[in-house]
Amino acid sequence: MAFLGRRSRAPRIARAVRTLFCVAFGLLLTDSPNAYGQSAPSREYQVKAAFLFNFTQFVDWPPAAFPEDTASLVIGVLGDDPFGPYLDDIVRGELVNSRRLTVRRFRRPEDIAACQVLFISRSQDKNLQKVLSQVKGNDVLTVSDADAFAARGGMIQLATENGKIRLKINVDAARASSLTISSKLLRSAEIVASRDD
Amino acid sequence: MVILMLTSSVVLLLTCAAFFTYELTTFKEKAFQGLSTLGDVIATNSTASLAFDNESDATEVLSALKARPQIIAAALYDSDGKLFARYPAAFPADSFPRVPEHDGFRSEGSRLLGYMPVVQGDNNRLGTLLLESNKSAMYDRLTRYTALAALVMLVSLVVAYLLAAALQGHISRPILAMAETAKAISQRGDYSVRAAKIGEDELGLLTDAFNHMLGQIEEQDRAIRESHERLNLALKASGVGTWVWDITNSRMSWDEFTYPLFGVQPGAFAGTYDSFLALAHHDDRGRVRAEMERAGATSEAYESIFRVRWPDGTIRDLSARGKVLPGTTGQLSRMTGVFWDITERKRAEERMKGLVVELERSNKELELFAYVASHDLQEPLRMVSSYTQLLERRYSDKLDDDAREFIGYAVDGASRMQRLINDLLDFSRVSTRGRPLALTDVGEILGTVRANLGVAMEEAGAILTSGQMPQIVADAGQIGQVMQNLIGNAIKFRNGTGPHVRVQAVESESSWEFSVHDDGIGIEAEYFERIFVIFQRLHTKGDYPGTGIGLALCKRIVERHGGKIWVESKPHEGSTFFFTIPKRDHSGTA
Repeated sequence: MAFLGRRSRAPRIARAVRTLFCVAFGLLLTDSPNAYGQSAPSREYQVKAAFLFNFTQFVDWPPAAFPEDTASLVIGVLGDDPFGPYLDDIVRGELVNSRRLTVRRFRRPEDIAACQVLFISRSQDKNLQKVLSQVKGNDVLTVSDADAFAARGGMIQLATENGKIRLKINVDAARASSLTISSKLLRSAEIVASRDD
Repeated sequence: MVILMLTSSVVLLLTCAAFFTYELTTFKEKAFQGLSTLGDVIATNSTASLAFDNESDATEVLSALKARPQIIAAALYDSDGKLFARYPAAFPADSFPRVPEHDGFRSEGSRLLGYMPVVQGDNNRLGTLLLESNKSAMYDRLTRYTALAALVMLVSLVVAYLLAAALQGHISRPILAMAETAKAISQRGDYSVRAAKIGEDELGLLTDAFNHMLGQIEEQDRAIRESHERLNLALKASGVGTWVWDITNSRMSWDEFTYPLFGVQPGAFAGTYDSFLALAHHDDRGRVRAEMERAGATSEAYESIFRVRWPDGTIRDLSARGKVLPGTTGQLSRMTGVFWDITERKRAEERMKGLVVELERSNKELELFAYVASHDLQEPLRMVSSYTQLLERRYSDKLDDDAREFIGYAVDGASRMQRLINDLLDFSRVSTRGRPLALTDVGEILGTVRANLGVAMEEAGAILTSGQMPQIVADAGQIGQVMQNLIGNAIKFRNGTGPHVRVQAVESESSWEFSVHDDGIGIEAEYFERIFVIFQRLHTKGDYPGTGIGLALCKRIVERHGGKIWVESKPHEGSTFFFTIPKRDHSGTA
């Protein structure tokens, strides 16, 4: 079972998880989000959605990263959205350093607006370098489950190993921005370097 | 020394006990605190592991507990209460609670359990940490403390012993010296012993004070001994024996002088109250017992006279006095006193009583004889007197001058005898024919006397003066006789012509003192007593006529009134006769 925020939310999540266990256990390890559609994310993406939320707990943004003091912390999803409303459910009502959390979705890289976390869907794998260079310098925490995302210059890669989601962090990429990643987060992650290509 | 060691031991024991008690009461709290602190560290380090589902990282965080041997086990539960990671990792999962309990700490047997929240950020609960610790740390600590306390105690005792040994010389030695001295004194009763003074400190002062006290005791002891010896001498000389009656125990103890009073040897007296009573005369025994026991019960002064019967049968009279000694607890339990032998005195008193009775009896007989004799003598004397006077009247012209002279002698003798008999009668009547005492004006009496003596005073050319005279309770006739005799004497024993006689009265508290002063021939001091004895005359009847009864009569009358009579005089200068009459109320009692 994953760690899905507050206990107060647990019953709802637990119910969803139980349903998912029944319906889609066999598909758990399949890679294709298309297999179960937008409205019913796989358990894998439920976990990943929770991770996205959790990252906001272990990363510090400089004040300059926000347009104004009261602005929300925005989690952006680029490309095909594998989470559906699930991610919205998770962040609803949550506060990080007194900021509310909101989810915004961008179809294409050109659509990307101000955000603090950017999940780059696999569907945008081909645009990866373009996207990364686009957000560089904007203090955006880039996250993706694309292969070798960290090695290719992304900050946090969600890699699946033996049915578990592991973190790979490109510390250099993070360091290039003004973000501060908690040492605790670093410790539970695998540190990878940028591949020269 | 022992006190010093004991004191330090007790102090140390109490300190250790307090220390242990404190440790025991605070240990659990401290243990929970330690657990909580440790839990905070582990929980903080575990947040990312829980947040990102990293079991191995969580296990690694927990494995850091190896450094804490008192932690037996630890577990992390995720936010759904599922076991997430455990320590030691080798323990099977089912040996841990399936789900976490409520946050908090509790003690379970020899273990302490703590459930602590794992929170990230603003109260974002990620899971629960369970820490389980054993209490061996407490026991380890207590063992260490015990060892330490034992060591401290041992060292302290050794130090205390060494200190005591070092200080003993300074403190204990003078005190021990004094104790030795006190012991020597109490055993031998020798108060001349003195404690050796060691040093000039407070103990030196104490020794000085002790010795000074001994000096005073010695002085008092000597004084007591002397006083005791003097008392013994006095008791020995006076024949007084002392006794102590222990009422509570019915014991009677005597001193050495008491035994002879009861005619017993010291060894022969049993020393009990009953054996004392047994020695009392059987007629007096009941009274002796009653009197002593009443005095013992009421603590009144005891005073008694009783007879004792000596074992050899001698009867002796003893006088006894005593008083109750107040007991220390307020109970009257002892009586002490003295006995002395009054047999001789009593015999003398009895003899004297007999003599007094005899004397009174013979005195009465004498008075009666004198009265009867003088009364009965008057009748034949009157015969002699009247017939010689008849003879003188009728036959004087028939007799020659010699016969007339002879008859004149006979008449004179008969009349002198008549006076003598009258005086004797007066004398004997003082007590037998006296009138009751009544209020009497002495001034009036003096007037009567002046009239009675008128002729004699005129002949002698005497002057009689008197001061203020009182009223007294007396026999007026007898007081008149006294005054007449004294004034008559003053005129009779005049020095040439024109005697001056003065009568005065002086009041004192209990009596009136009268005086009759003259400027006559006076009396030699050696005769001051003799003149009051009947028939004692200082002069021949040729010089001064009289019967020698007057002053004896005065003395008798004054004594009948309870007064005294005496004279003060110088030859050729005059005499003053004094007599006192005690004051009485009108009924005649003094």
